[in-house]
Amino acid sequence: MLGSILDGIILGCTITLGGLGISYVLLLQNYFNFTGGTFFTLGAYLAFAFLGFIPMGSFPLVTFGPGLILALVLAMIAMGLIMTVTDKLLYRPLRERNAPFMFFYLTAFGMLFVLRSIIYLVWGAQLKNYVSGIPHYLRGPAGISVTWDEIFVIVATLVIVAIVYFFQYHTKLGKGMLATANNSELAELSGIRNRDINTLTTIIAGILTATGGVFYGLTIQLRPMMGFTLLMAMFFAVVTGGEGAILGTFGAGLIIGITQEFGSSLLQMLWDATGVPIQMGGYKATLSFLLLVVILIFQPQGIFKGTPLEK
Amino acid sequence: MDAYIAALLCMGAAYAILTIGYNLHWGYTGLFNLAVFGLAAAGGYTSVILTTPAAGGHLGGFGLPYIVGILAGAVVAGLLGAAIGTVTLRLEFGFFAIATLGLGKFVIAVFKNEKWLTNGVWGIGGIPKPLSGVVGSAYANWAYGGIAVLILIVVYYLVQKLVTSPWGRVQMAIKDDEHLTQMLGKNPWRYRMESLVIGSMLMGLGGAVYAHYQGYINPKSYTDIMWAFLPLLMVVGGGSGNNRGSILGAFVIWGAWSLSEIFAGYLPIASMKIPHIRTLAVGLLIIAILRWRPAGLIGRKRAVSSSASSKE
Repeated sequence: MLGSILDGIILGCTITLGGLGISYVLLLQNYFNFTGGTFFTLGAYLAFAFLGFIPMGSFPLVTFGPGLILALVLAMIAMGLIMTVTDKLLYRPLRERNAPFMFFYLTAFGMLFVLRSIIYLVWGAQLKNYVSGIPHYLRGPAGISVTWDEIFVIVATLVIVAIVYFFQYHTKLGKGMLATANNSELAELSGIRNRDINTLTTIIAGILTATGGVFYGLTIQLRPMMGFTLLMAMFFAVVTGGEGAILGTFGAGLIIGITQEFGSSLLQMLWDATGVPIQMGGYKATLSFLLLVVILIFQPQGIFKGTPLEK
Repeated sequence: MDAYIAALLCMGAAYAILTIGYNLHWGYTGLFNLAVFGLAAAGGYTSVILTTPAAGGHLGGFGLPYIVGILAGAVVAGLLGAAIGTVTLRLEFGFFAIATLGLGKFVIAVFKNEKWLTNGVWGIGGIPKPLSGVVGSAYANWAYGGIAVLILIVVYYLVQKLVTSPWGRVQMAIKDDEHLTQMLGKNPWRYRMESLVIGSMLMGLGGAVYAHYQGYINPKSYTDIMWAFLPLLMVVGGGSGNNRGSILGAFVIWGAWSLSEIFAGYLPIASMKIPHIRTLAVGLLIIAILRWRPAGLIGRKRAVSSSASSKE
């Protein structure tokens, strides 16, 4: 039982990173990036590809070595580039001719399938792992055991969230970003260059998305549909946490991660006890979007009430 | 070649029926409904369960006639559409798209996991194809293609009447300016719900016509690529807000899609990769249309009431 809460926290960390990527695109471009989940997958697979050229080396305790860190950094750069190019090539013309906003969604939807098929074509449908070693477990009380890889992912996510938080609220660029999101014309007048801010935000979104994908691949597995199955959970984190609100997204990400892992086993116990013949195993991934629909109906402004300007 | 044209008639008509429904959502009312695959599956499964002979292990054995099956499929899909609408229609555009995508996936998850209802991943076979007993198996697809096209013509006639009526013009007005429509005393929520239900019924009908052509369905028959993404391309490629465009889009896109399967066989590519190359091509095509020809093949002409006089 407690083990599935821990699994949920780790899943929640990866969802948060992917969700923040979607959140930043939403903040400045005002559309829900349906491609976000697939960018997440692409980042993970790019790191996998880079690992083919980089010797892994080894770190104490964790299964991976400095090679993975280098591959992660390269994947971050690559994803930042890919997302920027996509934005300039596909979305900027739409913005410039003031296209109806359904075009943004449709383009993102088309892009999703383009990237998905590229991932299938290049890497195939088989499951993949970064490392094949046996993880070292840290055994705690009450039968909880956690691998050092998982501890690394949790700590690294906390660090990244802290960095992004500091950047957004305590640096000039971050404040400029919030200003542009709030009122782009006024921001332009006060000397902020909206184009640069747009590019910067897209790059940050790419970096966060790639990191989320690599962390998912490290703790769970690499599979072509991993990002798409998490897309609803990421949207949940964005909507529930409030767009651009970093801590809110983190909190909502943890909630949905734990719900997916822990809630399904809890519901299964409930069904078993009441004699309802429903097997929860097949509905694990659907839990998050049912919860999302509930939130959308009753609390569409998010449960944390956090707007990016108020923190 | 004959067999190919017969197959194209059946599949093209099935898709055209669904696409007309999708066009009502997207082209007229401006709803970005992504639950299409769930709605098509609901229609297909309903019709199949009602018309197949008894089989152990899952619900079935009613053996009702084809026409009852597909109409029931449309009704069930319409009810499902109403349920989805009750939950999601209050949401704004992006939230609506997300919520419907999630609900569509949920419907498929139900069909996949509830073995007592649908036989799960093993699917249901032995679906009757009407007239195949009369004309013999050699012409079964031709006969069925005729039925499918007949249904398509009826659907086109009815929907065309609907969208040229005042009701249809209110839908277009809602798409263009919701507040203006509200000021004129129309309730956008009600109109959207009506459009959603009617469109969903057509999607269920399309899914049912498809199921009877295939003869065997399982939850993987209704994937998001085949039943949300491809119809979207048919609507946008044919011309949003134009029913003739939707029919043209359905036949052209389906023709290209199925021909690409035949031609891909001659290319030196591993057969496993072919579906992904086709998806890639469709994705690029959709982006290209949006970028360079947003009106599609035949876009919407000026909307004029059917009761208006022809003199300008």
